[in-house]
Amino acid sequence: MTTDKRPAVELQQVSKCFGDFRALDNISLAIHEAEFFSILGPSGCGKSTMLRLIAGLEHADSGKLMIGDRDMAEVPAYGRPCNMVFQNYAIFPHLSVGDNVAYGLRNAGLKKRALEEKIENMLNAVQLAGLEKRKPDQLSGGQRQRVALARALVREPKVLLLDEPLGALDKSLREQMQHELRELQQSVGITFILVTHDQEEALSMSDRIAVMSEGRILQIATPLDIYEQPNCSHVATFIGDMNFIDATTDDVQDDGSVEVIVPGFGRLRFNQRLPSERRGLAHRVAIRPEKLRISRQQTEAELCVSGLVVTSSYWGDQSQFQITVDGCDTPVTVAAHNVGQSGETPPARGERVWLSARPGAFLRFEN
Amino acid sequence: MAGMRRIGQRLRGTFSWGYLFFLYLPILILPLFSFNDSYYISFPLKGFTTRWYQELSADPSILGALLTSLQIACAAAVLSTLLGLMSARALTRHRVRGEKSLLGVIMLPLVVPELIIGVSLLTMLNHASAGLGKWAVVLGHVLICYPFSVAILMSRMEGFDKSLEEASLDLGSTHWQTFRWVVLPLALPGVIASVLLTFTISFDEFLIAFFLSSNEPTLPVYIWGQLRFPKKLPSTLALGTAIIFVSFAVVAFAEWLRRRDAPKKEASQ
Repeated sequence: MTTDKRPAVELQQVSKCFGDFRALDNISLAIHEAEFFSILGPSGCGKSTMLRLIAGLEHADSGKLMIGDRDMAEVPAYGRPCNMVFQNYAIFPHLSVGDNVAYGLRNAGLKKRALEEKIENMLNAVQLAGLEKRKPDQLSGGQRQRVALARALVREPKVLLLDEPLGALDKSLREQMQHELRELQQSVGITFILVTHDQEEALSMSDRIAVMSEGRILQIATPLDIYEQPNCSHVATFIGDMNFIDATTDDVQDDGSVEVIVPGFGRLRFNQRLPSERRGLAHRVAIRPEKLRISRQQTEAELCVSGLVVTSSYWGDQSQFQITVDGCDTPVTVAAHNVGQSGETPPARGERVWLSARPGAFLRFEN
Repeated sequence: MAGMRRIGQRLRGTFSWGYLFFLYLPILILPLFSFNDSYYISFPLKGFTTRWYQELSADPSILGALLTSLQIACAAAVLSTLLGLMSARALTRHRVRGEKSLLGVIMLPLVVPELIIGVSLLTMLNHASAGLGKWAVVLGHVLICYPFSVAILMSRMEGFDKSLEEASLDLGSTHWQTFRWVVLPLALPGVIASVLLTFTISFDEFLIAFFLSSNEPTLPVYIWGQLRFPKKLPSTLALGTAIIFVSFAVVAFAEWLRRRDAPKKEASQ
């Protein structure tokens, strides 16, 4: 975590229950200024509650919320320096596009001229110029999303909150809007907090990601670290695909390194210990499908094992294989990009192949 | 089989026509005889005249009763719609304890005979020495109009998206401003429909007004009193005709408003 930026939003030991359901369980986190921060998790993990809490639409049972250097305990939703893009956009159906965007400025006491200019600039910024007279029901999904964005951004908030804003859009529009949102965030330079259950969205847009599950934060890290260095098996399974193989600690060396027996892959050496490391500890090692390389011949790699293809599926840009490595009970998934020349057929079911990997590509998790 | 079906169709046609006949023929009698140049309601018609209408407009007591009725109807419509708006808002937005039974109590005046309401209000107001007259009638009419207001406004407000109000708060509007700028404009067709419907209910109501109006008769009560004098009957018919047309127009307008922008549930998804 970089320390030169001061937090734009800070939660300190925040908890929130709905009846018996713990939506947020003692959450502490700091979001930096001008950061694109994503909260990623399955539905019901408390991510939307956290966003609504920051917006002032929910109130914490305990804990402290700071926006900038102000405690938000006594500040109502309409007094907070943050604005929200709602999941269903919540565009006012009785107002035109222009009036929707102007809504947040009604209390600002602007002169008519200044107001019109502001709205025009905002509509230009989200590529809705010329549509200010339209009614919301005459807009497409993408346009409604832009109205919601413009309506929030025109108030020049310190923090923009986005509650699954791209969920209702089709795939190609979603990818385009992901790109635009990222560009927009960099050009306006304010903090964006995005709530999503879409891991690709979080990985491609964010500076940092918080992975949540059952009201707790499992890990906060950059997209790279979240993917490459997940701190627990929950994060590892939630982001991308992961092969897990049961393993046993064989020896703990004096220099801190450990030797682990992985069935089928032999004896692997790791430099980091697990918290409860000891000889004979049963745990799991894990490797991403694309970190395993498949070939028909044995390679020079440090780690190269032989196995049988159980299934082989061709997906165009890549192929996926299930392979049982000799001596390992659980089949592993291998993903290979189809970079070979045309006419080259991928290994088929029942074929004997070799898998190679860098030993450093393996991760370890306690059970 | 085909013969059976033909008989069935014919029966259905006969029933429909009979129904319309019984429903509308008596009402058509009113305008017909209001232009008939005779004191007596009997065929054959004597001749065309507008003198009953002239007589009507020259009668100060009938115009006084009309004014009383309009005042009562306006007050009852506004009051019951205001109360209905608040109740509908509470019932659709907030979690109200005992919501079902509360709604049952609100809807109760729909099934309690107006006769009972009239008698009990009369007894109570007399005991309380509150006095009878216009305000007593308004009280009774609000009681019977309120369920209609609640029903109309609840059906309007149930389709509301809660996030619209949250968005308004998030965009810097206070709770009152949110009500004023978001909730009320969206509920407006329901509010107008409620005002118009309750206005007609109060305007037409007889029993409660009969018990409570004392020496300030409403129009229906006044007309009832006039029926004793045969010579007054034709101008009462003229008045009835005028009221029918105004009532029809008002109700049709209310219904048109309600349907024009009923909340579109599929569009808000």
